[in-house]
Amino acid sequence: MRAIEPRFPLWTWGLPLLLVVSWGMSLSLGAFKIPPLEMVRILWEAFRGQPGDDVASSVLLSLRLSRVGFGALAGAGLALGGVCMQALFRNPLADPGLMGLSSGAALAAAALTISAGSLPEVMVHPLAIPATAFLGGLFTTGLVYRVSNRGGRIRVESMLLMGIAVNALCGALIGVLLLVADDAQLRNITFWSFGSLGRVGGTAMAGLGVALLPAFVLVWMLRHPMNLLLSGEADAASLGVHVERTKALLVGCSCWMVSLVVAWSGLIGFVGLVIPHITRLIFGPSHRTLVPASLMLGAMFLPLADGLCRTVIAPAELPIGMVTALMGTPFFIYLLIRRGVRA
Amino acid sequence: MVKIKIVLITILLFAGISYAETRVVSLGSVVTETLQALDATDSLVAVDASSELSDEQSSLPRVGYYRMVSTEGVLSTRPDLVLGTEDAGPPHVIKQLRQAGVDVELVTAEKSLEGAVTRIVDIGKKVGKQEQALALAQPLKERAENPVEVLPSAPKVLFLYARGAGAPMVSGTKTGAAEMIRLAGAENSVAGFEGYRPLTAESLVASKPEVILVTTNGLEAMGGKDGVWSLPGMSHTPAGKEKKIVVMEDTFLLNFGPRTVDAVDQLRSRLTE
Repeated sequence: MRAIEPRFPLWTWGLPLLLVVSWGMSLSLGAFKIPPLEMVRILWEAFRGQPGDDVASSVLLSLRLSRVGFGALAGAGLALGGVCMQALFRNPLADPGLMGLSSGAALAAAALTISAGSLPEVMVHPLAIPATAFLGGLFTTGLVYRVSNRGGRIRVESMLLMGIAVNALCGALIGVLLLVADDAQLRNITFWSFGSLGRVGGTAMAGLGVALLPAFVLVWMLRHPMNLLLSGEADAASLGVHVERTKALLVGCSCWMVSLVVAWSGLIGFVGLVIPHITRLIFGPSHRTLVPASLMLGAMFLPLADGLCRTVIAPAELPIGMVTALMGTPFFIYLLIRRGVRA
Repeated sequence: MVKIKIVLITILLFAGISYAETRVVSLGSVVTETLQALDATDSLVAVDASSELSDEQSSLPRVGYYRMVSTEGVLSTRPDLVLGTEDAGPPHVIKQLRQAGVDVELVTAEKSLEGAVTRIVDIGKKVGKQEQALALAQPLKERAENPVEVLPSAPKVLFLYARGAGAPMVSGTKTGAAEMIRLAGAENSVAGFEGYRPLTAESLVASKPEVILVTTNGLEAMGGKDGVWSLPGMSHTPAGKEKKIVVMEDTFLLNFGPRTVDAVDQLRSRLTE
């Protein structure tokens, strides 16, 4: 196989190119009309260190640019989180949500929203909700991981079942919280869970980038073990893979990336499931291409979806989680039907 | 000659621009209603989804639900002033709008006569119509100082609200509806909790309402009067037996704006019918 592969296959130059184009497109989408030439001027001025002080400049530079940037990071993180989970479960229908991550984050965010009135001021800091959601996601995934880890061996089936149990429990607890919430809290919880890329400013985004990059690199380093895991744990072990260590790293990376993203954005469904899957359909199952291509497709898809959110009902805005779920769910159903046909 | 004309036209154009009114975005139906009562709607360039507009202005862009507007959406209407209640948001959007140089004025969201007076006066100040605003708020102020007496029968009123089919909510204490019931001289049949809760058959029967109060939109969502009377438990309440229901238009009943004294009087008279 290797011999007939060109030195620079399509994805190594085609995807980065598309990535830049899609970011440009996303930057140009929005309720506030900014003509392309104007956009170039504003970006050029900012690049030279003299950003304009008109409204168009501030829309482009302080609103859209950070949304595209966060969208790219979040899309990449969610997609790679999906890649890790699908490699771990050896199942293309796996999703970080399976390990109770999103529901744990949502539960923590809801709990904080409801108790915010009775907490000291430090706790209602703007960082409080992301931090709590992040810890909530880590906690539930950690719990699932601990329970399914028997004597240093992770049993994938029990992890799956435990994930379902934790999801159900978190769902029920959120239900209880919604029941005791007052109107304003109810609304805040609903808005948070819909998801938005608009809550992240420049500094937070830089921090997120710094936190996410090592995980991206680590996933890339795990590409060979992930490939070998596809043929089963026993085979992978006989080929020299530290199976348990790899599995632990996969859970860790996925959990780290997705918790970070979800903590800031709220729930954004189906990116982690659909993007790796599309990538596999186009570029094949090898993680050597799957990892970088998923990363780039994720970084492409989410900013574009967010561009749609900003324009479809402008000047009002759609929640991003709704748009990705609307686009992702039909695709998921299609996948299920296709699998059924094949079987 | 042509040159002079061009110069003159240019001057006129620029004069026109500099005298152009400030561009206002209103977030909250009570704010829009107040601007209408103050005859200050010419400067409106966009409103939120809950605002009601006159026919001439019905084509104004809508920037979405006022608690969840988007920064760019609001900025795209190029406003000088964003006028809303404290509930307008989310907070990071308000902050971003201010950073973009837009004057954002948030008036109180309190659901009471006193709140309505403050709100009207503050909005009037912001749009340069102080005197009109004071006059507009005067009846509300007088009513706040001299509330009506409790109705001799003091009927127990239950306010029901629904956004979609199924799952109607009941109003407990400390809501706009509860305050309207109190102002009209009646009694809220539910006193056990604050805010809105989902309706249950048993609590409905236990609260023994004599009159059901709903809004026009709420009634529609519950499937009309028949829908209300067929709610589980309703037939065992005094209101259900006598089919006593008062329907009032949503913003008229719940806005706490310039029309609120009329709304209180109307509610009072219809409760005693």
